[in-house]
Amino acid sequence: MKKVPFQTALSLALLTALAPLSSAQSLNNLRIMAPASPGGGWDQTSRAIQTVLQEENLVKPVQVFNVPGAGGTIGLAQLYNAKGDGNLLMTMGLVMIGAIQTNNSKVDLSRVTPIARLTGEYEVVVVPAASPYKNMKDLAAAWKANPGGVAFAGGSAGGTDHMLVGLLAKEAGVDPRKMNYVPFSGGGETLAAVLGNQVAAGVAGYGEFEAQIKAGKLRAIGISAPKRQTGIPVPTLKEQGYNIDLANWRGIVAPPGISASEKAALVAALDKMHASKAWKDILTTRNWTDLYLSGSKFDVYLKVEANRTKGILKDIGLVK
Amino acid sequence: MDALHSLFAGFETALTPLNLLWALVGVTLGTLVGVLPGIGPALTVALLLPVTAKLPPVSAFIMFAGIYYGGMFGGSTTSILLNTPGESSSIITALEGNKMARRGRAAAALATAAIGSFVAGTIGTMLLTFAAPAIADIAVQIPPSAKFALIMLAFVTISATFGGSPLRGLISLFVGLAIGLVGTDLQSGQSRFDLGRPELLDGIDFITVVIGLFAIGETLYVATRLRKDKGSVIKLEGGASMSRQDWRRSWKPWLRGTALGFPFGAIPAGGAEIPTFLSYTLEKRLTKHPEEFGKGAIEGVAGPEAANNASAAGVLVPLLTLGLPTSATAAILLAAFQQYGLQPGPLLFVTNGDLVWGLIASLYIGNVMLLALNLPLAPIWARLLLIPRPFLYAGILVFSTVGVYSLNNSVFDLFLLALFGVLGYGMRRFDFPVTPAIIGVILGPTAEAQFRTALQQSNGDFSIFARQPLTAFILIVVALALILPPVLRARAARRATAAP
Amino acid sequence: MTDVPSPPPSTARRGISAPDLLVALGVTLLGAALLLGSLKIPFGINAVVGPRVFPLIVSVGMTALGALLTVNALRGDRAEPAAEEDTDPDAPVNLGAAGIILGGFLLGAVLLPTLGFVLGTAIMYFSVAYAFGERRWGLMVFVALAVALVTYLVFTHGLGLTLPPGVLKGVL
Repeated sequence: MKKVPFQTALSLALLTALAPLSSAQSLNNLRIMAPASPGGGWDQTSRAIQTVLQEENLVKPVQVFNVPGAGGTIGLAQLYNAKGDGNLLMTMGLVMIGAIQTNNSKVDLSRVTPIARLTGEYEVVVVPAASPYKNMKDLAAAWKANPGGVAFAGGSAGGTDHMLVGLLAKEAGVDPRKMNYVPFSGGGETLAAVLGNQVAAGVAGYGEFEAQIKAGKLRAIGISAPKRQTGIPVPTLKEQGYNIDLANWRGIVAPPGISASEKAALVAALDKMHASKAWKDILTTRNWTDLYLSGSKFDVYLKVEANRTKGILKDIGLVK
Repeated sequence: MDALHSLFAGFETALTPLNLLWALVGVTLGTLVGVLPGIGPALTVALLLPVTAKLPPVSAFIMFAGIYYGGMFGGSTTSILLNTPGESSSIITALEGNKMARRGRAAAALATAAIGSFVAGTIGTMLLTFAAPAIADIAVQIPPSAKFALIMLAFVTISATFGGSPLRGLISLFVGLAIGLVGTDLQSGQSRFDLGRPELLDGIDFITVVIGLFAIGETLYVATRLRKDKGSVIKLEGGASMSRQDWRRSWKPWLRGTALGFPFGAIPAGGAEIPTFLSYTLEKRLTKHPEEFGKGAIEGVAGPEAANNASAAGVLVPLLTLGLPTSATAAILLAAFQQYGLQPGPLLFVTNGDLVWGLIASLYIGNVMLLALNLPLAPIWARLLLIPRPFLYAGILVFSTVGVYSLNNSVFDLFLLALFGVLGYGMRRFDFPVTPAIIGVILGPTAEAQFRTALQQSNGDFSIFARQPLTAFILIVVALALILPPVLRARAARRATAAP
Repeated sequence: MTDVPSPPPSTARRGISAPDLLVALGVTLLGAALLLGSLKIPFGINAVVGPRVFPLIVSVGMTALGALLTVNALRGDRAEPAAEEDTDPDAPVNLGAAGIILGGFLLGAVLLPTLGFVLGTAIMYFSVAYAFGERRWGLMVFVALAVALVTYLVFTHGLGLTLPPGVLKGVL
């Protein structure tokens, strides 16, 4: 299945030898911090992890607590304060990487202990059903002709939606600083703006538009996935010639300074959770795309993603 | 009469003993959390989501609907009794409701709030049953420019309504606007007035401002100039329920409040606040007892409470028909649908008709349950005020503290709360009305967002404010509201001097 | 809706009220500070109306209103303290009581993470009851602890929220 780098394999092997001892000791009383209010994506992810870890008898007990604020960076600061705590995890994702940049956060992800990337959702570009734009090419042509005249609706400035429009602009040959992006504070306002024909196009996670796409009130002209997704009859942006792969992913990290064995124990628990049927069931009902990536692969991914995000935000003009 | 047929089927689903029980659990829980400041239906449903994952979806949604409506009923209770509004939509209720309670008429105030909520909730649910898709289609067409104009209308009518001195009222409004500016500007991603504190990046939660200015400010103020001669408890006067006159004065505000509240609930980013503000000013204009406003006029409770509940029903229209959440609670309910792999929207009525209609039927049942639960409770709640003052005020303070602390689990918020408490004290001492500040905090950011969105969508063309018919109409009303009163006053003054 | 007539020109009330003048100057200064702050807000992304526009309107408005209030205060205007049901307009103003409440509140807030929610809020409760003239010590301590404990249990066990247990960790 997955290639496990030698070092991790070694520590994993060591760990399996010590497993009965160490995991029994360290993986009790796990606490998961959701750095957002109850009900949001990170909170739902945290509670789903909690449910599966407990039901599968992987860790017991698991407690979820919320530290909302500033795109998760307040929670991140608290994670730094819990340096060396091997029984603490925090959910995070692409949005946090963006918030660290735009908020000039004092703490970043360079020192936390990456554990795993779990799930994600791809972004779609939609136009009203009555729109003259049939595909991404039509929209891009009109956009290039008049960058300010084609308004894109999406979530708040610097979020995943904004990043996608920024990437699209570059691919379509539009100056990202000249594009007309209309940010909404969420709560379905993006959807309303597109349905009400108030903007040329809208961008959000597929789930937010799914019902309207299926009902034929919106036309999805592109999804930000690397290849077509099962059950989502939307052409990718890539196949239309726009080289974009962007997912609003969610993952989990541990505090800085935990020992290698503590890290390995956490990774092992998450690996087992990911393999369980209970987790697969949750992914299906919630419509979450499985983007599992653990161990050192995730370490690398996190660094790459942080650099890419910084680049996009610079292009848009949000970060100097 | 397709809807009627489906509704009957829905009642069959909702009236099973087990689902009735879940509805009862929901409304009871909703009423309780509505009473707690800071803890609203949104948070409660969010916290219950993992617990209810095991329930069948119909039962879970019947319970959530109960929590949702129950929270709206319960929110008025603390406003009236303790002058501590738990939600932004019950701030206006505190104005006249608490004055009524202090005069010993708490039970009547609670009763008119409960019955008004019932009337509005039921009418709203009926509109939802029979006209939802049509209303939703109109609601998404309301452009940002019109929403901006509506908020301007609210500002203008409100600044004319509160306080004796327009100057002091305006200063209070501007203080509120300034507080509303704090935090990251979602439109540009730039942080404003954050004083380098990450805690301020998300802005200041209005609950902290409201509780600081209302509850803490008042506690500090009363402590400094305590009345020593009177008994230390409030006397309960009048009957435990509404008199004939109360009924006569309440029923029209209920209906007017409903008419205002429902459409605002259905509009994206409409919310429950503007209709409650507008209902209050409307009732103040129309009342036959203007002298009672500011001292405990029952119309000032009946209208806004009905508006608040009607908007709660309105919110469900775009949620169920378009999958479009227009409030925080609706966003959580949407998450609840997704937990079951359901996607609200045009197809939900077809694919999961039994669930949707069971949910709608349970709204009718929940409303009846809430009335049956809250009317007998009103006189019991009112007896809370019999607690001696030292313990009552101490209780209010602790109660508000929990609400604010549990928002973010942050001591920083408590310091902010103390700061706003001192501000509230100062505003009472120097005769600044508190309500305009609160309105500024709540509506200021929305006004700014809608204004900027309108211009962003038009790519900088200011003429949309004149070209869009609805926007232009509302702005003309705003202009008239600004110009007419001084002109009329000047004419009246001239006539008075001409004919002494 | 009518303007409040300025106080009647009685000889006792003609002088300038220092507190009123200070408040008016305070409002003006706040407006000026906001104005300075507004000018420091960066522009951010390409937008028709940038993030500075509303702050500028608010701060200019506040400064102007503050200046008006200052003029009025210099003319001898003074604010009448609000009348509440539980207040006595003729009673001597007891600022100490407000100080006790505020002190107790801040003390409770600072100690809340370490001592725990129950003891932290009990301190707040106790200080308010004391400031309102209650002196039955035993009763006050009992009620303060009981109210705090019940609230804690309702929020943590009833609603599943996390509040700091502090020194009572393990007991609750």
